[in-house]
Amino acid sequence: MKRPNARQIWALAVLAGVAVIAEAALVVGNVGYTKNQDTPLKASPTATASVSAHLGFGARLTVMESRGAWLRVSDGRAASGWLFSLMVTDTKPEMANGERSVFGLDGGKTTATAAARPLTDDTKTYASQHNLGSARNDVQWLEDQCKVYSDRDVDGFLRAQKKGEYQ
Amino acid sequence: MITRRLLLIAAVLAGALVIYAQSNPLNSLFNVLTSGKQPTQTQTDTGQALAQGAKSLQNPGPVEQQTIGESLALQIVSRYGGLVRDPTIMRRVNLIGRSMARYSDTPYLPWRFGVLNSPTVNGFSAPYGFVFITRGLYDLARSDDALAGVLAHEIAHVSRHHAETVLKAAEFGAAVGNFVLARSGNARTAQPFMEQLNAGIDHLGSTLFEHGYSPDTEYEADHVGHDLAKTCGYAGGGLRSVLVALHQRTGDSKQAFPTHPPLSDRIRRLPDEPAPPL
Repeated sequence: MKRPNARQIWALAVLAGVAVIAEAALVVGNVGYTKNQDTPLKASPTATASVSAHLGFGARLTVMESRGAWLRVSDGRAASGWLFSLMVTDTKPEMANGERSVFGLDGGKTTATAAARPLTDDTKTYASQHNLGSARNDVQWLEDQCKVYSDRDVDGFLRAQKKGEYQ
Repeated sequence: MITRRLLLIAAVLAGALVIYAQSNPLNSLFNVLTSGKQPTQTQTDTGQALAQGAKSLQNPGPVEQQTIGESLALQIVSRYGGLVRDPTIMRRVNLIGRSMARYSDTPYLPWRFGVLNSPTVNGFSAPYGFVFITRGLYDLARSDDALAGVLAHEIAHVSRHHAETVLKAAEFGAAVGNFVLARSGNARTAQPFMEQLNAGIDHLGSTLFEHGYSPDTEYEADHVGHDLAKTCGYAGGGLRSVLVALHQRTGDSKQAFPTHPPLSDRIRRLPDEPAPPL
């Protein structure tokens, strides 16, 4: 029988470790808050499960059960279900309505992540006053490059790599 | 009633500015507000403006964050050789970075990850979702686990608003507050305040480049980043393995991560977990 090499042994150790130690930061009885425009609750603790409810930004939830990196939560009314533990935070998000619209957290279609944003006029002024024209071109190039990677691309990457909620 | 409240706030802030102006390079704002050299700005205008500034100081909005973040990003890119314009590298750092940033406390930011064209080993971040690592660090963190570890550390700086915390501290607070003044629509008074904002960003950049965040802030970023990467499914020992490799090469000589605490201190505070291949 072929003996496993060091890399294979390490990979097994990590897989075993992730299975054991991937625990949720919040525990049963804690209160958490959603931090995305749309947080789907699942019928079971897996990314491929059917969606039982959708929650908006800043929804207050109570943790009812914990299973690995998944939490069963309830909003105290009609919505309950499972979500990946990193989809809630223990800190209540403080954001004014106007700011929510900028970040696409109020139900609008355009999110800051998806949109390519030109540098602000104030930033352009700053670049001009500090002779940062070359850096300005670089940062604008960065903005243009990053718009290539959509949220769907990131989701596909997570699925393919079995990371995040797709572990 | 409202006017009295504004005047009270103005008086309190003016007192704070007296203290602030003693040792701050931005004290020309203090001179502007107290010297009477702007005859068009009435006392009531000043009170309203200061009240607006105080609100901004407490909670910089997205526009303020964007300008501060972009301006700081310009400084970072300028000081560290520009950006590596390699689509393959860009794709890798952005997919790994955003696969974790979407689970951070600020998933809604427009996260962008870039590699600086510098052989030094360091990482930087700026408000509004900017994360940069040097080419030297990118080449060292060759595995996805190691790269995720170093990117998660920088994500933690952004999601925990560490730069804004520095700005809100007494030395820089007025610069943030003045941003709203600059955008208040009064063109005649906007210019000096914009200059103050720029000076504040300059000072913030210099502080971060020369000294970095406080050690406790860096340890928090190590801890938060470690938990983020690990819960996302990357090896918990990713960042630590990079730090250990660097420490074996350079010790605590500050050749690597010169703006961070000594490598040995950071290594000791991180969980001793299996080190992934670099």
